[in-house]
Amino acid sequence: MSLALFVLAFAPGEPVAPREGVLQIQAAEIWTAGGERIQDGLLRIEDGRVRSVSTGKQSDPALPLVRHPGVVTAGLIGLRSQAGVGGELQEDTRSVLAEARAVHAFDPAHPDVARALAAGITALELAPAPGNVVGGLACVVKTSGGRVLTSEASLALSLTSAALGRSTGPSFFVFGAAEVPGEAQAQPDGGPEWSERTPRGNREPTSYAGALALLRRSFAEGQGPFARAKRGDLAVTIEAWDRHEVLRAVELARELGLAGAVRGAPLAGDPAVVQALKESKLGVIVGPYSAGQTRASLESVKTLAAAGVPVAFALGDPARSPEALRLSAARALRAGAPPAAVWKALTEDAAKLAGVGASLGTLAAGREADFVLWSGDPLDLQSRVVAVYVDGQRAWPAPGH
Amino acid sequence: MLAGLLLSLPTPTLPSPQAQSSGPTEGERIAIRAERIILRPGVELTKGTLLLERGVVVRVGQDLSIPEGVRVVEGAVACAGFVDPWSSLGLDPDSVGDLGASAATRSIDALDPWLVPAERREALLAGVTSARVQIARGALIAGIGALVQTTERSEPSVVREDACLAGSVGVSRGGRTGDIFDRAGEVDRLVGALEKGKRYRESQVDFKKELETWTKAIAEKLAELEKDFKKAKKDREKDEKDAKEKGKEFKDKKYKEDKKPRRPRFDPDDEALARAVDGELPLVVEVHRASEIRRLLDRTAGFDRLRLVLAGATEALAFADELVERRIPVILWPAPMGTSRPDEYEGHDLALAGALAREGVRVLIGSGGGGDAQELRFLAALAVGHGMEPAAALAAITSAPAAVFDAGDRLGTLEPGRSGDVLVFDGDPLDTRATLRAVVSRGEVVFP
Repeated sequence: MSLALFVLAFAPGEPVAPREGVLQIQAAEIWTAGGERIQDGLLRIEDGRVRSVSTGKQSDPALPLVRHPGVVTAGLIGLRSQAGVGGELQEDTRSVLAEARAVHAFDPAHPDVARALAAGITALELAPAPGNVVGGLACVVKTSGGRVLTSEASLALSLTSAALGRSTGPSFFVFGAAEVPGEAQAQPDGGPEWSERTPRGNREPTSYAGALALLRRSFAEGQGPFARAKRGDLAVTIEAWDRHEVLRAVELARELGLAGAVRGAPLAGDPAVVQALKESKLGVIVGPYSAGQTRASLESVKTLAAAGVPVAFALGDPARSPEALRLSAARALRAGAPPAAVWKALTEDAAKLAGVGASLGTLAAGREADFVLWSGDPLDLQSRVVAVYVDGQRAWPAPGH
Repeated sequence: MLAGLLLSLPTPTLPSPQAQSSGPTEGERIAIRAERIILRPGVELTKGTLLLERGVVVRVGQDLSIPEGVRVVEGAVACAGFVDPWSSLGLDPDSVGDLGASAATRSIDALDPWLVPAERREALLAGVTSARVQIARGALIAGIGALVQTTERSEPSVVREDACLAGSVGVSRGGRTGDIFDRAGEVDRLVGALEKGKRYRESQVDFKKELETWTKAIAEKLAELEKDFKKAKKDREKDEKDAKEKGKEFKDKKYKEDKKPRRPRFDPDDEALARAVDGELPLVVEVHRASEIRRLLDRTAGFDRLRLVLAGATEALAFADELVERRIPVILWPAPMGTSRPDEYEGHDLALAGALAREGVRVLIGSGGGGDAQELRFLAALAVGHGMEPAAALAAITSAPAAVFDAGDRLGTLEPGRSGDVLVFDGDPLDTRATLRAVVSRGEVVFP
C-alpha cells in the first residue's frame, strides 16, 4: 500500500543516469532543525547525508525524486535500549566494568532491531543494565545496515538500589515507589515498572555510601573512560530512580565535573530536584511511560522542558514494544507538555543525550540522512510509518516490497 | 453528515427500568455546543447543540434555542463517552485475580466504591464514562460481568448488573500456560459447563410441561368425580352396609393418584449458564490461540441461541469469515507489547483490529482490565495508526461495546433518551494531540 505513495519521477525525455546516493524527497511538510516545519518542503540527500532542506519549488529534474503527501522528519532515537542483546548487558560478578562495551552484544540481524526500524526508530542507544555501579560503555547503532555510530557513546553509572549488593529490602524494587509516600508498592512511577533485584551476595558496594565511595575512588585513580569522563570527553549516564538517588547523582556530577544525563522520571513533583538538575547541566532520560503512570511523573517532561533541562525518552525494548516511544510521547502530551518539547525529546535531545547530537536528531545540512515518511503528524498515534530511510537508503519497507 | 437534522422528543425518556443508578442529578440542565457533534461514529452534525436534562440527552439539533439558566459547554468536537468493554475499574483487586469464581459469581458484588477513587477519576478524565467490569480474570468460568458508569462517588451507577457471563481458555495463570492438550481440555470443560446449563434449562422446561400435564389430569379426574358424586356416594353407602351385614371390615376404595412431578433443584450456577445458552446474556470468552479458537467455534456451533463474544483473540484473523457469519464480536486489547507480554499474546499484532474490521467483524477495543483504561482512546488511535478506519475505531470504544452489552439504547451514541455522557475535545477524539476539554457524565459536568 505504501508503495502507491512513491512516485519516482524523472524528467521526461532526458537520459538520466541516477547518481549513486543522491535522492530528493518532496513532502507536504518537512520538520527540520529548531522545530521548524517547512510546508511543501524538499529534502536533498547526497551520500547518506542531508545536503539541504528547502521549499519544494526547486527540485532538480535530473535527480530521482520521491513525492510524499505526508510529513517527513528525522528518525526517532531509542535510548536505553537492549534490543536484540538478550541478557548480555548484565554483569553479575563485578561492580565496576568501565571497559565493558555494549557494542559487543549488538546483533544487527536480530528481529528486535527490525521491529524498531519499522516503528520509525533509526538509531538505538544500547546501554549496559543498571545492575552495576559502573556498567561500561553504551553505544549508538543504526537500526538498518548494522552501522555502529559510536561504541563509546557514554559511560553508564548506576546509583540505584539495583546496583547494591546483599538485598536487605523487598525482593523486587518498584521504580519510584519512594516518590509516592503512602501509595501501594504496585504503583509504578516511571521508567521500568520494576527491576528484578538479584541477590548479589556480598559483592561491594552494599550501600549508597559505599557506591559513592567506589565511584570517587574509580574516578580518582581511574584511567581510560574515567579519566575521559572527568576531562569532559565522555558523557556519563547515571541511573537514579528515586529522588534521593537523583540528588546524589547531581552532587556527584558537580563534584567530579561530569556531563551527561540522569535516567529517572519521578522528578516533576519536586521543585528542588528540578532546580538541582537545572544547575547541574545534566539532561534527563524519562520513561518509557506505562499505562496507569502517575500524573506527577507524566508531567515531568513538561516541568523539565519548562526549566530548560534537556529531556528524552528511554525505550526499554525489547521488553516494551518499539511503539513505547511514541506512546510515551502521547502520554507526556496529554499531561500538558508542549508538542515542540515532546518532539525534541524524541529526536534532537535524544541524540544529544546519547552523545550523537552532532550527527543525528534533526534534518539539517550535514546531518546523517536518517528520516521517516509519516502519513501525518507523528505525535498523533493515528499516523503511521510509510517508509524509513537510514543513511540515505530506503530501509523499510525493504526495497522491492 | 446530516445537515439540518433535528431530533427531539417531546418529553425526555428516562433510562430503561433496569437502571439502578442513584438517579440523575435533579435540575441540572446543560447545553453542549460544538463545531462537530459525533452522534454516532460516521454520523455527524456540524455546529450543533445537545441539550441534557435530568441526566439524559433530550434534544439534538442545529438551531436549538438554549433556555435561560442552562449551563453552556462549548468546544470543537463532542462525542459520546467512551465505553470500555474490558475493564476491572473499581473492582476489589482480590476478586479480579480470583480464579475460584463460579458461573453465578457476580462482578457487581466485587465493586468497591471506596477503593482508590483517584483511579476512577483518572479514567473519567480520560473520557471513559462507563465500562464492562469483570472479576476473575483468567478463570475458566469468571462469573457475571456488570456494565457500570464511572463515578468517583461511593454509590455505584449500574447500567446492567448482569451484562454478560465470562470465561477464558488457554490463558496463562500464575505466569504459566498449559500445553495444547490442557488447553483443548479447557475448551471442553467450558463447553461441558454450557451443556450442563442447557440440560438444566431443558429439565426446567420438562418440569413445566409435566406439571401442566399433571395438573390437567388431576383436574379432569376431579371433574369426573364431582360429576359422579351422587352415584359414588350411594355405592359407598351400599358397600358399607353390605360389609356390616357380612360382619366384614369396610375399606374405602383408594384412588391412585399420579405422582406430582418434582421441581428440579435450583442451581444458581446452572441457571447463569442456562441464561448464556439461551442468549439472555452474551458469553465473553478470552481465547487467543488459533487451536483453541477453532475448537471453541466448533464445539459451540450447536448452541443456537448462544451469543458468543471473543476477547483477546490474538490469532482470530484466520476465522474472520466464520466470525462474520455467526455474528461473533471480538474484544481486543490492542496495546503495544514487547517481550514482557503474557505467552498467549505471542502473535500479538497492532494491525489485528483493522484487519478484522475490514473483514466485517464487529471489533471492540478494551483496556484489558489494566491501567490502559485511562487511555482507551490512545489504543483506538494506535489501531488507526495500524490500519483501522477511524470511524470503526471510534465505534470500537463507544457504540459497539454499548450494543454488545445490550445498552445501545442508553450508552455509546448521542440521541434523545441516551445517558448524558458527553466528551468535548479541542480536536478529533482519536487525535492524540487533541485535549479533552470537558467531561459530562450522567448529565453532570465532572470536568472542568
